[in-house]
Amino acid sequence: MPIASSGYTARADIQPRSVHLVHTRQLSKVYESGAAPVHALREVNLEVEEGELLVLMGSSGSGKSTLLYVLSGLEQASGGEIHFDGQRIDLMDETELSMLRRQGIGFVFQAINLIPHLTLFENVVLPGYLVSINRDEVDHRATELLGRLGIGALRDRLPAQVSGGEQQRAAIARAMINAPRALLADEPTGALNSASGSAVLEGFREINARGQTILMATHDVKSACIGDRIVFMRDGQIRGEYRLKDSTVAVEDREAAVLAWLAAQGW
Amino acid sequence: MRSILLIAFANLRRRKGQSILVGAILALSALMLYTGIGIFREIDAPVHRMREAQRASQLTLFFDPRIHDQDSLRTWWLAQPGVAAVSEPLATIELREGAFFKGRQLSRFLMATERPVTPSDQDSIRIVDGHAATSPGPGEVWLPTGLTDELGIHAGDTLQFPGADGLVPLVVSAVVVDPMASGLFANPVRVWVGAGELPTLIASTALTGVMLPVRLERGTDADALWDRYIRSRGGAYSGGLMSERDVISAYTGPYALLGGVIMAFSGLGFIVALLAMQGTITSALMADYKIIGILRAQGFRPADVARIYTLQYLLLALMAIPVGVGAGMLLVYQAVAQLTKSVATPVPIAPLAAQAAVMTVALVGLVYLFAARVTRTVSRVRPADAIRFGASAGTAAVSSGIPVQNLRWASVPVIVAIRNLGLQKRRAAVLALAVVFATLAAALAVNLDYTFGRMSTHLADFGFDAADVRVTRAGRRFGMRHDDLMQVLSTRDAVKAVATWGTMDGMFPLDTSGATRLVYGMVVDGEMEALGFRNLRGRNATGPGEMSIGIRTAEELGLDLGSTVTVQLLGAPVVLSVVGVYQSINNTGHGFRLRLESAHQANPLWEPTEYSVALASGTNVERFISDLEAEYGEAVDAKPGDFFIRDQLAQIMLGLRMTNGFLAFVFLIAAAVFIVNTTLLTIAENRQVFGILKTTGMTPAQLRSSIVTGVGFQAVGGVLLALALWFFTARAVLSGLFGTVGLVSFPLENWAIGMAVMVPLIVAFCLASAWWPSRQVLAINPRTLIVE
Repeated sequence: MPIASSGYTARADIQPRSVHLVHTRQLSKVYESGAAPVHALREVNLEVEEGELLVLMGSSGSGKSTLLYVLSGLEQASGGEIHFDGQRIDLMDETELSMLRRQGIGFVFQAINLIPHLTLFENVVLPGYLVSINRDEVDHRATELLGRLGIGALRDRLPAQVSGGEQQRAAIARAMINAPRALLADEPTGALNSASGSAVLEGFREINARGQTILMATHDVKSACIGDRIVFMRDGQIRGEYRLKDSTVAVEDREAAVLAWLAAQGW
Repeated sequence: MRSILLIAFANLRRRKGQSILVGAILALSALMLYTGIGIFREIDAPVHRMREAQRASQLTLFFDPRIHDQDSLRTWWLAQPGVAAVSEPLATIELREGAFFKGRQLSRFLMATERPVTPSDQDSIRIVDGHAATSPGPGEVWLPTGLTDELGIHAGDTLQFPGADGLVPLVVSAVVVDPMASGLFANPVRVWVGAGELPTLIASTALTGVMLPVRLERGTDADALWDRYIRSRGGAYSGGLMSERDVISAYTGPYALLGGVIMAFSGLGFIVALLAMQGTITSALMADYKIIGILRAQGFRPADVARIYTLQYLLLALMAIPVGVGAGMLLVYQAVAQLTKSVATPVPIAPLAAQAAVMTVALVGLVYLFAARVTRTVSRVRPADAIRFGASAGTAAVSSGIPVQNLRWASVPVIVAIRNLGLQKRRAAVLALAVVFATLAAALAVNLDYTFGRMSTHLADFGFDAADVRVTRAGRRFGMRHDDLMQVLSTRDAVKAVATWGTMDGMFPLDTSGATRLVYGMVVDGEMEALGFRNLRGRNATGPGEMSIGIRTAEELGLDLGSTVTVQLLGAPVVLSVVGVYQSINNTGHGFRLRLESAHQANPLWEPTEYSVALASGTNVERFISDLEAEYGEAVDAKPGDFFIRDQLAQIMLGLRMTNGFLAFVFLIAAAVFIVNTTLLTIAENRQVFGILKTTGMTPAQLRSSIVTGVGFQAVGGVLLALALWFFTARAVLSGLFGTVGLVSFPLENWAIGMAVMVPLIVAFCLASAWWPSRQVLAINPRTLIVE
């Protein structure tokens, strides 16, 4: 799928294109609200390769969701650098960040967050219309995506008229409509039952197999097991990582291996 | 109850911005309503108060003592039950040539009246500028406040009066509040000179006017006593009458009409405010779903929760409505004081305060009932859904608006704007309605100003003749005969048409019992059509025994085309048939027009004194006047056609501008408040949607423009609807309103340039009103999309 012509552009002050799609250096985020500042991220150094499916794990308040929000530019970093596709996100203004989110990054939420009064198809095409003036092409792409995620027949339903899993797949299609360089997913199966969650994970696996870079935050070990690499976070810091792709553990034993690793990390 | 009160207060504090906006809407509505009703009801109050304090006469008779014996006439009135006092007859003379002040001729006619050395307390005079005295001394004149306010005359100034031997200087020794003559729109205006002073102005043989003021115990008896008087004379009364109605309308007539316009708008504005309030309360409930859920989970019953919100809006109403009513009271006080400045009497506070109290209670009660009705919806809140989702589950189970596929031609901000409008049709309609009223108020201001501004060149549309020049035979030492002047005027190349005329009173029978109604009329000789004497129905009189009558006279006396009536003209009965009905703002649509031949049936020697001249196109009016006056000297007095209405028109224009400008201002402010409120509520209710749109890549400018575009659609819709309403109904509505002053077919002229400027300005104003609060959308943090 071609990326449409309009979109975010490289800044003059960026560094030479990194081999990593995402690269953070000493990234920190402090929330100043309340009496004492809350350090949500502390000197996080993270690299994500193109085409990788990276899973962020950690308990509530560990900083994984904050990391995704800072990486997407929805939250401003308090310090450090974020390199995305060769550009410094932390130096972008609001409009440049919007352009980045429009084409560079797709976002999937735990709460799904489809626009309730739009049909699934309308939810998917709207961000596409932001980028492309060829609306036929956007419609075609949306139809294809919905079909690929198994909800093509539901395209004219409103979110409230389909199941949570179907809604989340529509949200994935929406995030994918502009063929982003990276797909960021925050607890995408958190609000779903087991069957719906599996369908969503299957969707992620399917699009990752086509080369899509995905960063997914999750509590769920089963969800984490679809990743290439798991990064474990606690208190705003990366405490360790586990490479599933290079692991010699059989797929069916992965959950146990990941659990064992997490336990060793203090999960 | 304490906990309910605590939560209600906490809600008000927590949503300060929204509370202020709702409060502003309530206050503004109260302000508009109070102002409309206040001006309408109270405009006359200072005049009545002054007239009562100065023991004003309700009936003032003018007559020629050679026709009616003044002593026997006074005796008759004094003998009537219900009559409190009858003044000594006052020698008076109407100066048809006007006086001069600082070289400028006054456009109002003056009625110089001798003031007794020891006047009674009837029609007492209050001196507001100058030395205290009981009457003017020799060489002095007292002028009423309305006239001095208009012309900037003060005690010590000198006026030149046309006298028998040229101009006579009279010093203004006092400016006075005269119950009969201080009105801004009084014409002729009574001015006082000392006893025995009139012969310095006019030959004693020409002193043929007497004024007889009659004060009644109850003003409401005036009509009955007048009828009794006319019956006692067998209908034969050859003179004039100034009633209390005429006097009051000379003070406030045009303003009272505008008060009616304001009130009509205010009522409509309040309906919009109620609708906006309903939308606001509903929105507030939607925004508080989670809190409502928590309260319900803690054991509050639906009725308790409803009470919290009802109380919340009651508290808001208790704070806002007194502010609006108070501001309205201040505004009405100032407006009435300004408009009735000439009576130099304080505006009574008590009626204003009483009206404010009643209105405050009524409006607060209305808000309470309204809030109670709307807050009943909290019973439908399901605690679990409310706590979990912060909104009612399934609220978006129905799509609304145009499908996105049908909007593929539009940019995403436009698509979002249109979809949002579809979702909030009621709120969109209310906002559009506010814009409709603002546009109508602005259109009223622009076009009425234009219409009255062109009045001096379109006099015939308002019921005057369309003379370019008015000429009076004015010579005292030497003059011209009527036939000679007619010859002079009609043979000049520059003259297109001439009509001569004079005023004449006619006593029209009210019924068969002998009761009559005095009507001021006009006797015309010459080319009436060419001079712009128009009729709504029928035609102008063409010969003896015919007349056309004013629309209000026709209505009040039950006359129409074909009616035949015997009218007492100069004390003689003349049978006249109605051949035309005309409208005129002059004398509020009362009057008649007949030909000279009819007047000659009453008195063969009667001659017109005024000459209306229509000039050939391209003729310079000022040059024509100066040539005529240079050629015939003091034998003629020529003035531009609009000279005698110029100053009063300026007063009316000032009143119109003040009132309509205020109206347009208030409605534009109201529209701006609605827009700000709607924008903030839209953002508050759609935080999730805007957060999603922000996440999917809409830029800050696109997010703001999606909101502003929505308001733009509503503004354009409102403006278009208002224009349609204006063009289709304005003439009829204004005709209805101005029908009371004689213009049943209001000669509205729409000012194309003014409207062309006004429309984009209103739309731009609406967009600017939305742009400012739309920045709130930038503060939405997509973190709100996270459910922990």
